[in-house]
Amino acid sequence: MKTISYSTLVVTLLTLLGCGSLVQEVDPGNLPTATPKMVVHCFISPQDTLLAVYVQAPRAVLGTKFTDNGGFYLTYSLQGSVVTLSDGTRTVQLPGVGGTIPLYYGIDTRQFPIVAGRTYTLTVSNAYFPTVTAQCTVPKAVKPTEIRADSLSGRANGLPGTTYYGRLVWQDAAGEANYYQVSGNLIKTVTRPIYTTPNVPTRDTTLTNMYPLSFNGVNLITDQNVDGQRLISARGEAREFNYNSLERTIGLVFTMTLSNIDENYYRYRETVDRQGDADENPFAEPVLVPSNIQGGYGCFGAYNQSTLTVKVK
Amino acid sequence: MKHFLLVALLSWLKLHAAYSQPKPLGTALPITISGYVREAGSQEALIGVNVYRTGTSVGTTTNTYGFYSLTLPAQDSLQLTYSIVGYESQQLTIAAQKSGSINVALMAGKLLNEVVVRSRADEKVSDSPQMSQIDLPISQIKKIPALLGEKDVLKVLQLMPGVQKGSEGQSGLYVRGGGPDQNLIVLDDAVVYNASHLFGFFSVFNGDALKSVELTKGGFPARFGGRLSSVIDLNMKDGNKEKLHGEGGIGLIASRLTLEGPLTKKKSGPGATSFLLSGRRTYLDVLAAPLIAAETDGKTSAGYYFYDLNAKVNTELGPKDKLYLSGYFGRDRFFADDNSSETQTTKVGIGWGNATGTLRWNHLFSDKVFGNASLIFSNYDFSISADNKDTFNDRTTEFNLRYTSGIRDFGIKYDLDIYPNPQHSLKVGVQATAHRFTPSAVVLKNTELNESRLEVDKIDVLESGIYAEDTWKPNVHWRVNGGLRFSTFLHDAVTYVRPEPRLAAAYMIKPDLSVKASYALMNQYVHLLSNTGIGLPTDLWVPTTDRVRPQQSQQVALGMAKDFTNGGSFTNGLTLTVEGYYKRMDNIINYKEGASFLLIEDPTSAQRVRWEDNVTSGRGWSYGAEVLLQKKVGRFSGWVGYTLSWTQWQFAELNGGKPFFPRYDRRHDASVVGIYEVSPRISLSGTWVYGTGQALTLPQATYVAYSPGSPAYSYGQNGVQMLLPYGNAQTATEYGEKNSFRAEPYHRFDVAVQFHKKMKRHERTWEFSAYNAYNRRNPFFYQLATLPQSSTNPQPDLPRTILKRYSVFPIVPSVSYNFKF
Repeated sequence: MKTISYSTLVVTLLTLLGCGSLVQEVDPGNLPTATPKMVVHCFISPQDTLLAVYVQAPRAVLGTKFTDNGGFYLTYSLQGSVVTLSDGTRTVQLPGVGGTIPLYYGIDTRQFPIVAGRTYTLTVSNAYFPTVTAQCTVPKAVKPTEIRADSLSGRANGLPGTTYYGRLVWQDAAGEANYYQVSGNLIKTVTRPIYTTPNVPTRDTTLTNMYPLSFNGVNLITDQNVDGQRLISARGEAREFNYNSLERTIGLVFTMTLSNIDENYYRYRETVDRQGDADENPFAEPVLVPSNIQGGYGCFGAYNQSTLTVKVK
Repeated sequence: MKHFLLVALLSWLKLHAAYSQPKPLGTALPITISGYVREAGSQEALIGVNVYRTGTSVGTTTNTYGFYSLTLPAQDSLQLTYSIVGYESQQLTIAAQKSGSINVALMAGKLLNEVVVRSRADEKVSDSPQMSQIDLPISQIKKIPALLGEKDVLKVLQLMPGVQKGSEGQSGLYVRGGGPDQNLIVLDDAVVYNASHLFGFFSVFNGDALKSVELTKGGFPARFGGRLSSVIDLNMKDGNKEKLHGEGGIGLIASRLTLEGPLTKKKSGPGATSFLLSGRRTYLDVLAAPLIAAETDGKTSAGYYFYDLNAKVNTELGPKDKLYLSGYFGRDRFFADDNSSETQTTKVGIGWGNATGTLRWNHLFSDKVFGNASLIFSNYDFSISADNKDTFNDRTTEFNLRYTSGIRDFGIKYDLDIYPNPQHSLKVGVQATAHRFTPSAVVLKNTELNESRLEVDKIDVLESGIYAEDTWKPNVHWRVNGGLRFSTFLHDAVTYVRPEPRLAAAYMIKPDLSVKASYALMNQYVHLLSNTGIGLPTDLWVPTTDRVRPQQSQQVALGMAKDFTNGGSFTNGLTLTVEGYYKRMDNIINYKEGASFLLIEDPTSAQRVRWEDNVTSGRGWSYGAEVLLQKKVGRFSGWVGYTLSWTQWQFAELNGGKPFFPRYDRRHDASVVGIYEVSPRISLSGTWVYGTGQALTLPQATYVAYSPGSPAYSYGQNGVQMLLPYGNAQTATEYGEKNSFRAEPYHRFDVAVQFHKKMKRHERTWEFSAYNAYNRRNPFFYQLATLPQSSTNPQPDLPRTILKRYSVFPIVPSVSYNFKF
């Protein structure tokens, strides 16, 4: 009898199969609340001709919190923002560019030159978000000493061609933390016969092709653990397919640019890249992006560029 | 070094023996009573049996092989008591004029038998210097409800205070703020590197093959080393020496069978040999195979299974020598074979598993000195294979990928147990393990690219330890275990030699109440890279190197232990332990933000990444209080456990260098376990658990991130096309601070009822159970989801984003049939 009564208990338990979904929406009341913040991007360099600031709203994530401020156009800057840039002695206000709802706020650098070693302060205020400020110091230029170029001819993906490689070499300044970004192009000048008009004989035409060097995502460099040493960049490569047998190369030039970037820019770009790489990986730890925009998101960074060109052919 | 240590310890021992010898014992010549305590019937050696002079606290306990040695003054007669939980205690009156050997066989207790209740009366937690230690009787594990009826040793340990579970259904253990990588899991002296089956939902240990399970979470004696947070010591049964015995079960997902018995006619004495063989396998793949074949016209097959195999043989070489050979083999395998396309065939296989083997030789040097030598092998490997054949226009392209990672150990160990007198019991030993790590080995072949690469990156290291410890009972009040371990680690580029002092002491205020304190310093030279908290086979064991330093912890614990006595007799078996601890962990490692095993070695990338590039080290600290009220005897048994704790981590490269709560920081953790023997035929059990939610990192906002370069043209609102200064637009996510979101609390109630019946030739048990009986939707993970615009979401370009909670187990009923003969 006892056995039966316990069996009944078990059966009752088993029939208590609550059939709700295993996926449920979390009560919005239990979600963390965050203060809406402005997104500001500004990068300054002594080589640039334009000073530009993007002032934008973030996209919404949780709930509707960020959308309560009005339907912002995400690719435009926030209307009516007051954007000022100061170098400690002079302050300039950057007007909106591109209409009432501006694409960005900016001025020509001739009106406000950017000088290496100087610290700049950016302030942005508008009606939608709390005012933000940010500071950065423009690093000095570092001249690269050499380009190490190489090439390898052979088939890739079934097609003949040549892969060109370039590494940039420079001397890191000792006793200070430095951050670099490397970029470059392979500029190839060729002549080849071109048919211009029917029934007119072909004539040789000179063409210049620019191939951006790919660094396989390793174009940001820090001198951590290698301070004061001679640094060599990752190998940049550009692949050129020889599909036209009539084409003749008459000139081959590597131009590689070393940007000495400030820490804010480095940390921001490096973490955003890393976040992008980890995006599709559900097992990766979330990447937190640091920002030097006080009270906001984004980056106020500075860089100083030096370019080296070598003629290969 | 070894000699120096031994000499130092023996001198210390001599000195203390001289001063601490109680006067009444000092007058007569001492004699030594030694022997083995076994289970009556099976002759299985019993571990941890209390052997003491009746009515006093003068005594000892049996070691891992059931051996004891007790030195007492000679006298006309002496009464000795042998007792351990689950067995009828025995009292022997012996003539004690000279030393001798006494082997004792204890009868397994029968429930509801008054004798049993009495027999447990001497198992007192207040009487030992050891704190922070949990022994689990296997018989109790078999009664506690389990997911799908698969009894799991590690999941029962999760029900103890100070030990927390990870995600829902996972068998990983988080001990006092440490991760699952900080637990040393040892099966018959061999380290088991990945104790998970089926992505952590089941552990690799088959309860039928186990004799004992002991978890130490603090106050580590010097014989233990190599991990920061806990030692889980599992011992396999030796095998019944008397007759063939079997047990097994048929469950919803797996079946198991264990056979044990004598291999020789001789039941005891030299030459007597017995064996144990135990297997378990899941059969989801077998059940699903016809369905998959029917769906795909037999062109596709796929499945998953795991199995375990435990085997052990032991033989008595002579009165003083015994030999044990034991092994464990377990494997998980997922496979898919797709021939459904006419031009393409694909074959994928993922497999992982452990293999361990131990050869042990016990030798009795004298009635006071017991030695054991062990040769140990352990291997864990994980492999992926993918083969693809593509035929197009009579041209066949083949792609083959092989990825393997793993760790392989060869070890040697020698331990001596020395029992000079009842005041001292000394353990000394030495251990050396040669580890070979294969963090990754990739073979990639592609006929199209005419490229084949073999990248093997093996690392050989030597880890060793030498230790000495003494359990000292100077008088009726004090119990002290002090010891020292020297651990060394040899790597091509770096060598570490580190002393690890250990001390544990108990002061008995009253015969049933003691206060305890302990200190332990631990080093860990092998690390587990894991970033999911789920027992994935991809979790990677890596060594200490010149760039990754050993992890180190220091733990202090204070506590009290109380045995509730009834009129002076400890009959109700109720014990209360309260402990507080503080643990500091240095050089603990974690993946860097954004890194994971998937990036360890990308076979398609031209860049070669060292695994060290993906990890970062930091420090952590954990403190808390634990309460355990446990009732071990009677018709109603079980325990109530509660833990209040805080754990924080600080890494220079995580969370901007600020301290944060790791995922498994748990403020409150409670468990209630009850087993009620309704009658000899029916037992009812239930468990309820509660835990604070996990600390997780949730996105708070997303925005478009820009940087200089890649400028693009865009039309302004004024209709003019302009060149935008910044490009490289990428969506960035803002998370706020790391792990600043708390998941909802976890709680669950499981219940089981077992019907036992003795049949003519065997005994059978039907079990009906329900996991998560009140069907709580516990969070497994969270994900953001975007709802399309709707009436509740008027923003035209901003759809509403919500957070979804994913649960894995609703109420899960199960039934299983178990038998033994």
